[in-house]
Amino acid sequence: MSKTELAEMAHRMLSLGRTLGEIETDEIEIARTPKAEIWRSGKTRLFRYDEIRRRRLGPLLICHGLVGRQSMTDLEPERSVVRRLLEAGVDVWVVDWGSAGRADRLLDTTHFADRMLGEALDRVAAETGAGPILLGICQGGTFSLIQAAHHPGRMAGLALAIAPVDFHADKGDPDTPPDGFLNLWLRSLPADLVTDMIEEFGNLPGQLIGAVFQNLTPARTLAKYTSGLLDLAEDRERLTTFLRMERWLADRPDHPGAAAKEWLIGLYRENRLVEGRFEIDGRPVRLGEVACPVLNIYGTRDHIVPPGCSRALMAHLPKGADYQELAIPSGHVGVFVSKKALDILPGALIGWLARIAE
Amino acid sequence: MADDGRDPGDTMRRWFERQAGAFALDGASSAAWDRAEALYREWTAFAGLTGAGSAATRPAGLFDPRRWVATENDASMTVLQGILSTSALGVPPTGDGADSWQRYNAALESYRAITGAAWLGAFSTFAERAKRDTDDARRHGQEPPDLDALLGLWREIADHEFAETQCSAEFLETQTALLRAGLQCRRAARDRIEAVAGAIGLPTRSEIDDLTETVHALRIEVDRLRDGR
Repeated sequence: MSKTELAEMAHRMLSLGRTLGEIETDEIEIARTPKAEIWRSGKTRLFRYDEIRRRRLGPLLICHGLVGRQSMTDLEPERSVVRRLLEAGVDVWVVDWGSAGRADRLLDTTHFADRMLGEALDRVAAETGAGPILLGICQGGTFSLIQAAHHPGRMAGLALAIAPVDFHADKGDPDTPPDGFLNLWLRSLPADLVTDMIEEFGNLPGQLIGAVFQNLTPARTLAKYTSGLLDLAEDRERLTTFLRMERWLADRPDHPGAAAKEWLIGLYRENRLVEGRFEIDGRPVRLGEVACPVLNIYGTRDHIVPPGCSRALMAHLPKGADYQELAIPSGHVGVFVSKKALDILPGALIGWLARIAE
Repeated sequence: MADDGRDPGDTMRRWFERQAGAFALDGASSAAWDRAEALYREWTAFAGLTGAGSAATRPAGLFDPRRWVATENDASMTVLQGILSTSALGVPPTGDGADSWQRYNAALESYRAITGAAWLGAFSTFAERAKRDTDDARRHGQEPPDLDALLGLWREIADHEFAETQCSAEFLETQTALLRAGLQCRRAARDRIEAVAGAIGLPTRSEIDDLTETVHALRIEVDRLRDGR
């Protein structure tokens, strides 16, 4: 490396330090699109976003999972799926599960995917007079699918995004990215160890979940905070986007224990959902009972939920089901925050909402 | 001489021996560590000779084996260790706790040996490719790869090597053993804390958990009554 390049690097480091020092906390706030709380039960809250354009489509209820917060769909004004939908006249709602404490460790999948999500959907229907459409994201997609199968008449449509359905479909699938071995890791954990770990902590610690995700790509993770940051040193806009993303990543709640056991053992290890052995409120979930139109969105480079694990849904729906797939050329979270994805996803989702409304 | 006939110095000596045993590196991990450090020294010498020089060694953390093997430089391992180890609880391990602490550290060393070996493999591949790319560039009268190119090459190779390692049966078994040992460690510390807290009348985690189970059962009952079931 020449002295010029060395001087350039030193200049970038100084720029980075200066810019980081100038950025105020409220400059990197996320999820700023205004919304109003409509209903709450315990820590679960249901919000309706303020309209930007007269509401003509929906209502669309966004359901995220327990592994990360729903604020990812509203990261910043230029990278907000929520805003794009509102600007198109979609009536957007969102359910927020809150932050689980040790006292919530006994809340299971039935509580979230069946009871709370069901009450949220009923509330949306009561407030709007229209059949709600559910957009389930990641684990929230699995919850939404469970709701749709267990209560077929409760919704007018089901959109899933980066949602795992068949937790063993990564095996031998050439579309599984090389770093897509999360399923393998979780399958390798003996059930008794998972049970012991969750009972010891009460819940599945959010910090541990974050550490596992980071360890999937250790070099990339390390580089993100070293050479990656230097690349952003003189682009304040990209740097603040990076910091907002980090803010979302750091805000990882603990996962309620009982639901975590079902997630890790019943689904990741034993794959009960696609085998018809996953029970909600004492009844097995039958994916063949889904009765509404389905849009299945997945990331082609998703290493957290490999594409095959989402696309497997098609084989389990009733014959002749109104089923559509949408491939986004991105990784997991990129489906909602990358510029390329934002050129595709909102428009496709709005088009689908308009079609099923006819 | 203490009342029980033992010299207090014996207790300290036994404690020191235990600690030394807990932290002694086994053959596999220390050999891997030595090779990793030797390769790092060779790389810095190579980088100096080729003029990739001081700038390449400056972000040395990316190439430094201590990044991968030493938990103090690995943020995600620090998180894991903090969650699982008794050090986060500030409770020095004794008795059963000392045994489980020792087993935890042994499991950690096994984990480090595997990740250290992965680093070695990645670095070997990287050094070979970097040298080849530099020689090719020089042969064609072009500029050798700059720092950004080298860092990109390292990321690609390291992630690939770690992906292969982290999918191996050996790694999965070691990871499971580490989690188990860490949990046992934590549980031993919790048992001791509960015994002390209970003895002086403080509420314990077990008592609070019992209370929340009662509240949960009541919540379910209320929901049933509300639903008319």
